[in-house]
Amino acid sequence: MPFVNLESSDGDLVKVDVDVIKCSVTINALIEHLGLEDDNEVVPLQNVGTETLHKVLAWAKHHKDDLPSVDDDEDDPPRERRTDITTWDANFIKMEQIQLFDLILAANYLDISGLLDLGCKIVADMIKGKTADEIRTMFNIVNDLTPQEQEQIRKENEWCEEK
Amino acid sequence: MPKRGGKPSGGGGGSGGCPPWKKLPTEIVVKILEYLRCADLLSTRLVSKDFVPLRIRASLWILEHLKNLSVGVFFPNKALPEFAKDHELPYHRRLDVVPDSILENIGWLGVDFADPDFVMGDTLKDLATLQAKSRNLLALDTLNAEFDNFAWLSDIISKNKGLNTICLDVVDLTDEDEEARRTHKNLRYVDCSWMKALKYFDQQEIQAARNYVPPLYFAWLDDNLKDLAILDYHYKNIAKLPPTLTELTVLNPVTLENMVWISENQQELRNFVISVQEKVGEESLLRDMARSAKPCNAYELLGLNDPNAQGDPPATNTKKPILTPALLRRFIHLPHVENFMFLFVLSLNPENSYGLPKDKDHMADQVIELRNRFKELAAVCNKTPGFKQARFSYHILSDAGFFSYRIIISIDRSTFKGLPP
Repeated sequence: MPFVNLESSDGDLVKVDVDVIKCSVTINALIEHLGLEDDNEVVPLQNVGTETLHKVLAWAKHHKDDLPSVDDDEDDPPRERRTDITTWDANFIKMEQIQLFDLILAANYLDISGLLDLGCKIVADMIKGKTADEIRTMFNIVNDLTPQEQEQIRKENEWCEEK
Repeated sequence: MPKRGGKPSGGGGGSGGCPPWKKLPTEIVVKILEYLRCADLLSTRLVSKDFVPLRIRASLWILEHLKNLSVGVFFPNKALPEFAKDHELPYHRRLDVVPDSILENIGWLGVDFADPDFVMGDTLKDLATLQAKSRNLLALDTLNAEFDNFAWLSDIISKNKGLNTICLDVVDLTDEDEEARRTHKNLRYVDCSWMKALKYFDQQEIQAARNYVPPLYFAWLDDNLKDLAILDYHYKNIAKLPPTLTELTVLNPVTLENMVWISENQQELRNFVISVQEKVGEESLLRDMARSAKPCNAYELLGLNDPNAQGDPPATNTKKPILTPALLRRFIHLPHVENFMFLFVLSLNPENSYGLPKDKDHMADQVIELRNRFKELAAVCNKTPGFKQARFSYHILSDAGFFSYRIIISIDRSTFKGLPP
């Protein structure tokens, strides 16, 4: 069975090479669970819209031949994860914020660790070096902290900051 | 923290009233945070209440001459690389320079004094400050903190309901220091019934314990306390043992009589470990055992007639015996006891024995001879239905001067009908 039909939450069918989408733990499990035997069978993906699904598949196609990633050693977690991003990924991930967050959610739902890592790195890069005001503006967040609460957090933060 | 997560929009739609960030489930937020530096993590705390609900976590170690305060951020209940900054405060620098909200979030507190009667500077005021502020302690680790007859400790325990790990350590108190030991009895007035785990340690016992367990912390149980270890506190009965307790480890020098009393009157304990550190003079371990009326072979241990008996009966002990056949039989016949181990850690001519030689090889020979005397333990017990296991074992590290022997007995209560008379 070299192909599988994926049905997006918009009801659209997208035919994809099984080899391309093998990076998704969720889809692999669904194929196995549903016992799909021919190319006309459909795998429903109720949490992924058509546009996002096409992006996921574009990423999966490009990374089809990647070696499996090695998990971090849980006994010795890094204080800060590596944030290196390839040029192709950097160009691929250039999109509106709403699309980026949908892609992250889809990667999380489909259990595609490489794509999820990429999305999280990009969001982290968006936050790095920004003030609280800038972060609020960027993510359209309302400041619900009172001046007293902000002052308390600042005082607490002073004890955590590297001088 | 508000509920996060939800169905992706499918792409291309407007953001509506809900900022995209709020759609991210917690596990993704945590993953993003893992890529941030400490300074950025701190900035995110100022964005809004629920943008990333990072909390401050602090630990404090109060030593003789300084205080070490470590403050960091963490994401509640989620793994996140820890960012913490250490601050050393000299003993004359009061804790009132620290914001209350940090003092309230101290999760681990260590108090370490050489002598509780001579605490320097304003440290007692600092302890009073902690007594007033701390509400989120999870662990308490003390050395010689029995000042004020444990009133401070008792109050700290009662105010920190999440406290689940306590290690009380006393430094090197010798048998001669009875006055100092007396203060420890006051711990019986601390209500320990709600604790999840509690262990007491003595410096010498830590050294001994390190030979067979990881340092300091054995195994903490998650829910209610079932397993308790007590080291070197000389009271006969602990007040208000948690009702869930089924396992009790007592290290030095509680007699079996105390354990039998606890088991008959307070707790239906199933598993016991009694570890005793014994000082042995140069002349003879075996002679010491005979002099203290301690059973010297399997038959004596179980109070049975020894078919190979020779010579005089055991001497009468002038001190309260740690282990006697009568007590052991009483213990074995308790209906709930299933496993027990007596561990004797031997200390050959200790430091206060005026320079007597330490013949380690001779000591090792005697422990092996003792093993020979107990070699019939399994065979003797196997004649009685209901014994799952009965064995004598020893551990000798001559070079390190470590000698110990242990007697382990396990009983199947469904088939055990009692020992022969």
